[in-house]
Amino acid sequence: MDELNQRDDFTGWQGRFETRVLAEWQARLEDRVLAPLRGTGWRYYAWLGCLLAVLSWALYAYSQQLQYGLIVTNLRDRISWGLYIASFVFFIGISHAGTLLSAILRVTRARWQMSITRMAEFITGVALMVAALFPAIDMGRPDRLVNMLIFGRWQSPLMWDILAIITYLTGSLIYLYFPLIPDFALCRDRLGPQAPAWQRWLFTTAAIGWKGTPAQRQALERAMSIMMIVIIPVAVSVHTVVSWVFAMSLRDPLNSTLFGVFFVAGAIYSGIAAIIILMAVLRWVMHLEEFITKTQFVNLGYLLATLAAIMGYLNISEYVTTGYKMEEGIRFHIQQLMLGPFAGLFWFYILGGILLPLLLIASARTRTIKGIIAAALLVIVAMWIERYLIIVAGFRVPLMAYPPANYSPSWVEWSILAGGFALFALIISIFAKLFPVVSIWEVIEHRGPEPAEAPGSSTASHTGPGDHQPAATNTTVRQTPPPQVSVTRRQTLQVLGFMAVGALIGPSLLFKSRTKSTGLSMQSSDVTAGQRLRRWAMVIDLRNCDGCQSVGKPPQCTAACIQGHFAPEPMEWIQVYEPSLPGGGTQFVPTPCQQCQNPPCVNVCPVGATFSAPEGVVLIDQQRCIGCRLCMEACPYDRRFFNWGEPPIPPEATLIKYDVVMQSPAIRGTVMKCDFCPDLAEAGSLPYCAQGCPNHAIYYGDLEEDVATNGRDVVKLSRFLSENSTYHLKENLGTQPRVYYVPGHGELVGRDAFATGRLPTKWPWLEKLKGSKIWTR
Amino acid sequence: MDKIVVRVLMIAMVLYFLAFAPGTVHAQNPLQPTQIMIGAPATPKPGGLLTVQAVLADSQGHPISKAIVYFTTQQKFLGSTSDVVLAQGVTNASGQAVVQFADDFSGAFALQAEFRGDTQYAPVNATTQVGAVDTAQVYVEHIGVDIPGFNVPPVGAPMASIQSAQPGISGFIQSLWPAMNGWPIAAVLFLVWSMYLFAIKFIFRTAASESDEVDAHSIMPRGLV
Repeated sequence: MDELNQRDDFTGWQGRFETRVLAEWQARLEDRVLAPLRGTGWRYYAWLGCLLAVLSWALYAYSQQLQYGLIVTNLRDRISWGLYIASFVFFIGISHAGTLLSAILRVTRARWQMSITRMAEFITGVALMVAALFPAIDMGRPDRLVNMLIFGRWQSPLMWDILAIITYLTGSLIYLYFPLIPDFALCRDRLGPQAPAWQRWLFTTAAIGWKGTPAQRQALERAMSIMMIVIIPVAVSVHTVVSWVFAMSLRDPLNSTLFGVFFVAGAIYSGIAAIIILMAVLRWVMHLEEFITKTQFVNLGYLLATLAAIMGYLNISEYVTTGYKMEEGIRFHIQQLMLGPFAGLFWFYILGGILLPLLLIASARTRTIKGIIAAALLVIVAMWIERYLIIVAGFRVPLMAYPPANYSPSWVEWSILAGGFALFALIISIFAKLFPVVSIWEVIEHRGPEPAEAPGSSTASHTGPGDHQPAATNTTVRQTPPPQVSVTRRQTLQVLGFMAVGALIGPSLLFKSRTKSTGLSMQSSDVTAGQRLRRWAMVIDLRNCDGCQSVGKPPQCTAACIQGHFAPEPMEWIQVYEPSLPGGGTQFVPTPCQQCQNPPCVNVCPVGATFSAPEGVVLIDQQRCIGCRLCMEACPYDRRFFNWGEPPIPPEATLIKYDVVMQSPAIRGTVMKCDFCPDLAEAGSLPYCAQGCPNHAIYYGDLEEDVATNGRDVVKLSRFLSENSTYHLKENLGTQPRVYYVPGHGELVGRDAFATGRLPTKWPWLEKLKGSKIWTR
Repeated sequence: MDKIVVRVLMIAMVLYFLAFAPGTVHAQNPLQPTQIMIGAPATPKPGGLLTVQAVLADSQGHPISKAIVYFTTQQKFLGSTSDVVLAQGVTNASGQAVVQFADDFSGAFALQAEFRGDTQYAPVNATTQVGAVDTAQVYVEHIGVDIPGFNVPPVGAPMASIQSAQPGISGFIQSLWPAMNGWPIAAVLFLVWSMYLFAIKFIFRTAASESDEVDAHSIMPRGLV
């Protein structure tokens, strides 16, 4: 009996001891996490001051960009996306860490992650907000962003991107908010009357009456379950869609089916690294060493190593398969990456960003907190470089017979990038000041103190991964069984039914109204009563083209086009390239817009600013164009031009009343190109280029009436095409151009193929518009 | 005397060169006159294949075989005018040449059958009026695969002068098409957002309903509240 009493006494003492240790541990956790909410030190303000200073500098840089246009960047026609879009992809990538990782770990009920889920979810929300800024910054006409709402097109990958990002951001914020509710309630109750009124109001409102009843717990659990299931495919879709912005183009290095997987894996990889870094910073700043231990670092390190292995595998798969075949563009790309101007960055990415982190984590000696942080830092830098390489190196591969362009970001671009990082840190800092950075209630429920750090407390082991009862079992708490939540199967089916019906009917109603508001017709092949539509086409007889060597002038087609359209320097809407011939020597290939019948540029335009007219001519409405340059990325012929600055045009050009078929006067921040002069043809005249050609090498015709002329001879178009073995540029792409070429090298006008070179194009105006600047392509 | 001899010799030399020098045209037998007849449907269907024939014969009415007959028309386009060869055929044993070509002309045109002559027969041609005015489009382009909801024509910028609505039911259906444009994406978005709303509604409703019924004893002094 005595023994029994002694045992009861011991058990009671042990229980009381455990309860006391646990209560002290909880108190320390709350104190640490809520400390920033209770008071603010000077260091915090100093930190904010630094961030605001960087941000102000970035705003100044952006004001320069707004004032002078994108000419203040070093982006140009041939590498038209650079630092901004690379950073956009990077931030979208690290946003994956958070919600996706948090959701996966929650679904798999990984206990160790409870103290870091909040940080991960913070990263997602903030990274997405910062990421969304970069495409807007990159736009030539940010003032026309509203066009995305008014004229948005489903067919554009950019529109998919925006929809996916908005959906993911919304889902992530909801997913961030749900587990914050119990902590809001805790803040409401803990901070007390001495807290500022705004803080009390914020936490009271945000806690939405949370009192921790079993029904509320169950409701929270179910709501989070829904969100954690939904958010995983949404998160995967976001980066897949981001990759499609590139992979949908016809550029060799980007034309890959592997891109979606590559981007998602890379996103999770960089995201985990971002979590590790943020975790380390907050652990250090907020003295959370007791709650964020080596366990979290090592487990995240293992995840990082797994992703490193996956990234390594994907890189090998990508470069071995494409490198083995060595198509022309790919050969150039691989050479520039591995041996050329990008070799340093590329090998840092491969060795420093994939191999070294893997080794750091694989080795027990370096698998420490510091080692894992070092690996994460390497990964973050390397993944930013990888984004940069995808875009800049990918765009550098020449599309036509021109020397590869070069790009190094300007001070404006670097400043804005620094501002992006500063904004990211600023928002995270403000979040950390306003809200608990650790999910207190989840840590308590799922984890309890580390056994090693709280010896004798075995309560933690009582709470399994699925046990949602509080670890700190106060004797005053009445353990009531959780009541059934008031959502029945019937109600669930009702909601699902409503969703299904809505999914079918909603879009029709929504977009019908939008179409009405724009008042546009979708009919592209309409016929005005009593009149057949022309289907304009062009045949360029290379046998008659000598690059105007015989007349001793620059190519006259280009000159006439520039003069007729007031094309700003350096735009050559019809450019005479001089590619080599197989047996030596060269030919001259006048290259206007190919007026594709299956135009990639039209497919990708997010606002319908570029479109196929019923006559088959691809036109641009510069008054609608938002300057995103997706069409320039999509065009495989390098036939689109951007007004990077104030266009250098003669003053008289501004007197012209703007018309889509004229494209004059040029508008800063918009795209221009050859329009096939349908206005001249309608008036019974040849396009400027055909008029200007001294050798009558350019035929302009109508596929509808099967006729063409070069201003001297009229030919039956179909017979002319067949009898002269005409071809298209890059026929394999399936773009179906309306420009045909008769093979030759000027032999009919007496040119020897080995007489190379032509005179450079000149822009004739002596006086240019005030404030205009000339740029290079 | 010498002068006379010299003159005679010079005249002889000139005559010699005129007669035998390279490139000199010799007198030939006169070419036989020919006749040609052309046959074509007067009002063919524009855009369809037009079958025309010509019969070539000599002045006696004997058919001429293995001769090339060109079918041409004089065409004007963007300020230029030329004789355009539409097709060419070789006559058979009956002197008949039959060809087919696409009638892409927007109205009536003068079709000419032309025999350009050879070493035996003289050139000849005949003309007839062919065709009728029709506004139906001839050139058809259709690229890629139609995927409902995705690859419909884009919303274009205003081209009011050349765009017009089709009348009747077909026009009505066409006018509905933009509304359905992109519906697969919209449906997915709608489903995801509905799930969001479902989760939000769920938690807000439960939180509100429980807040009044809460048992004060269930609130812990520490930890979860």
